[in-house]
Amino acid sequence: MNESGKVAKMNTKVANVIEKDAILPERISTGVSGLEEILGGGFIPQGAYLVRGAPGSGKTMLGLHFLTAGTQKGEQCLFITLGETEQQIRKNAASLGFDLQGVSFLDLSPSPEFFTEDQSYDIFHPAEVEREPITRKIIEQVVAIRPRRVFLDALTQFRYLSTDQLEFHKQAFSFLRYLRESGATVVFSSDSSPEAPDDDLQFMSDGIIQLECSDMERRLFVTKMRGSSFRMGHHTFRLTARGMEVSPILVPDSLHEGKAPVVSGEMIASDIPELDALLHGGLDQGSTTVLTGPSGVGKTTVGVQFMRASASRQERAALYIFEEGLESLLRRCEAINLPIRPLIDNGWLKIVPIEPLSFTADEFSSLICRDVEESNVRLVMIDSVAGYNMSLRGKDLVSHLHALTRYLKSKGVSTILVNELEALSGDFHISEIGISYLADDIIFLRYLELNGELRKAMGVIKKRVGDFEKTLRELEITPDGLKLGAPMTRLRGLLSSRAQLI
Amino acid sequence: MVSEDGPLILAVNHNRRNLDLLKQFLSEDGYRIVAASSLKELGEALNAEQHIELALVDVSGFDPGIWRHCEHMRIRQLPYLVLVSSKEAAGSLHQGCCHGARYVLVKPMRKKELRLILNGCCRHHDEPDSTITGP
Repeated sequence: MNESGKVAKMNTKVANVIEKDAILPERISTGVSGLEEILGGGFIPQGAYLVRGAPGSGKTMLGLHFLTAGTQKGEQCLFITLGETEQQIRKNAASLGFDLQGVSFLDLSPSPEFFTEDQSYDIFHPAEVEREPITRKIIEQVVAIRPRRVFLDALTQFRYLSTDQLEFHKQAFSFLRYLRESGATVVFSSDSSPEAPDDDLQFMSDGIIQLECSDMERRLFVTKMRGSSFRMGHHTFRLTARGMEVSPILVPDSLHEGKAPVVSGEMIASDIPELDALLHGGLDQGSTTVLTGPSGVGKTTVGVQFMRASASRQERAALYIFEEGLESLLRRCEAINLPIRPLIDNGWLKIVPIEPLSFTADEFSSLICRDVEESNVRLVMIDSVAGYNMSLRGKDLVSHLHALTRYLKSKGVSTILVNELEALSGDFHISEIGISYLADDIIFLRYLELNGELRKAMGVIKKRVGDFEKTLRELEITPDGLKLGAPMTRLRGLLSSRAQLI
Repeated sequence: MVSEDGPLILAVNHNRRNLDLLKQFLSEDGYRIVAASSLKELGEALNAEQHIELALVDVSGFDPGIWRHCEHMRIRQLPYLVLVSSKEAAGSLHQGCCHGARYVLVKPMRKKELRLILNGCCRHHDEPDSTITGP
C-alpha cells in the first residue's frame, strides 16, 4: 500500500471512532440538508452556536434554515437582526422559498431616519446611548414570545455598543447565557476580519461552523462542538434555489465497519460465458473491481456489459459517466448489440452524466449515497477515475476513492472503477495513479500487435476471493456484441512490451 | 429628573442629536438646561437675565466666532467646559486653554466622568483648574 493509501485508511479509522460517539439522545435540527450528519444529529438544545464567514458565505441562509425548521415543528422562533432590515430579509427569504410567517423579528438595524434626520451623534459613546434601549427591546421580545430558537445576525455588531473588549466579552457572554437560560437554542453569526477578530466569540460558543467561499467551491467545516463529536474535514456546500445543501465528506458506514456486509455470495455474471469463465463465474458481490487499460480498448463496453447483466436480473445498477454524453453512450451500445435503453426506461439501470467541473467530490459521493440508500443500487460503475479526479480539483484522489469504495463495500454494493492508462503499449502497468490497492479484482485490457494486426486482449490479474483464469482471452467488439475468444495459451511476453504467439 | 431649583447649565451644541442627548442626561441628573445650537442662540442665552451655573460648549461645527463667546464667558467669570472631537483636539485644546475653559473634554465622553466633573464644577466653581480628559 502506498503512503496516501495508508493515510486514507487511518483517516477512515479516526472518522469511524468519531462517528461511533456521535449519537446523542436529543438534538435540534439545523434544517440544513447534510449538516445534521456532520454535527452528529444536530445542535444540542440550549447551546449557542457561532457561524463564521465572509460576506455572502451563507451565514444568514443557515440561520433561515434553522428558524424555519423550528416553525415547521410549531416552535417559537426569533430573528434578531442588527444589519439587514426585516423587510429585506423577508424579501430575500421569500425568493428562496423560505416561509418566515411563523418567525418573529426584532429589527435593530438603523432606521432611515438615522440618515434623513441626521441622528448621528458623538457626544457619548454608542454603548452609553444605545445599549440600554436595545437590551430592553431584546428582553421585552424574549419575555413576550419565549423563543425556542434564536438567530442573531450578527453578534459582532454589539462590539460597537461596548466601550472596550472586556466589556464586550462580558456582555456577549451574559447575553448568550440569558437566551439559553430562557430556553432558547441560539445560532449567532459573526463578521470577523483580520482587523476585528472574533476569537472571544469562538471561546464563548458551544460550537463553531466556519463557512468559506472560493472561486471553485463553497466549503464548511466544524471546529468545535461542545459535548459532542462531529465529522471533521472540509465539506462542500451549495447555495441553491432551495437554500443551503451540504455534501458531507464521505465516511464509510460505522455500523458496518469491521463486519462482513450482507451479500448473497453470488457472483455478478456478465452473461457472456467466456468472460464469466475468465473470472470463474463473475465479479464478487460487494467487491471493488478496477477495469484498466488504454484509451479505446473497450473498458466502458466491458463494464456496461456487467451493468446490463445485473440490471437484467433486476439488481439495480448505476453508471456515472464523466467523459461521455448519455446519448453518445446509448448509440454506441446499440451499435454493438448492447441494448440498455429498456433497462433505463424500467428503472433497473441508471446512467448519470457528471460534469466534473460543476460537481465537487463530496457532492458526487452524496449522490451515490442517495442512490444506494434510497434506490437500492447494488452495482456502481464510475467511468472514469480520471473524470472523478477532475472533480476533486487537486485534492487527494486515493483517499477520496478509498472512502467511497469502503462505503460501498460496507453496504454490500459492488463497484467497477474504469481506469485509463496513458500508454497504448509498453511495459505492463495496472494503474498510473496508485489506485490498485483499492481493488479486490483487477481486470486488464491491452492492445496486442500479433502478426502485423492490432488486436485486443483481456485478462484478470487479481481476484481477492476465489480463483480466476491465468491466461488471456482475445476481445472483440463486434456489431453482434462483445466476443471473447478461447484462452490464449500460446501467448508469451504479455507483461513486457513484446507479446508473441508461439 | 429635572429639578425646579437645580443648577442651570447652558448647553451649546451645533448637533441637534448631541443636544438632545445632553439635555436628557442633564435633566436626569437634576439640572435645568438652557440650550443653544447656533452662535445667535448662544448670544441670546448669555444676554438673558438668568444665573447660569456652568456652560458646556461643544465647539464642533461652529466657526471661530465661538471663541469670542468663550472669551466673553471668561470675562463674565462664567465657568465653562469645552467639548472637542478627537480630530479637533490639538487645535481646540490650545484655544480652550487660552480662553479660560475650566476643562477641555474630548468626545465621546463617558457619562460617569461627565457627571463627576459637573458635580465638582457646580459645587466648587471658584477653584480654577484645567484638566484634559478623554474617552
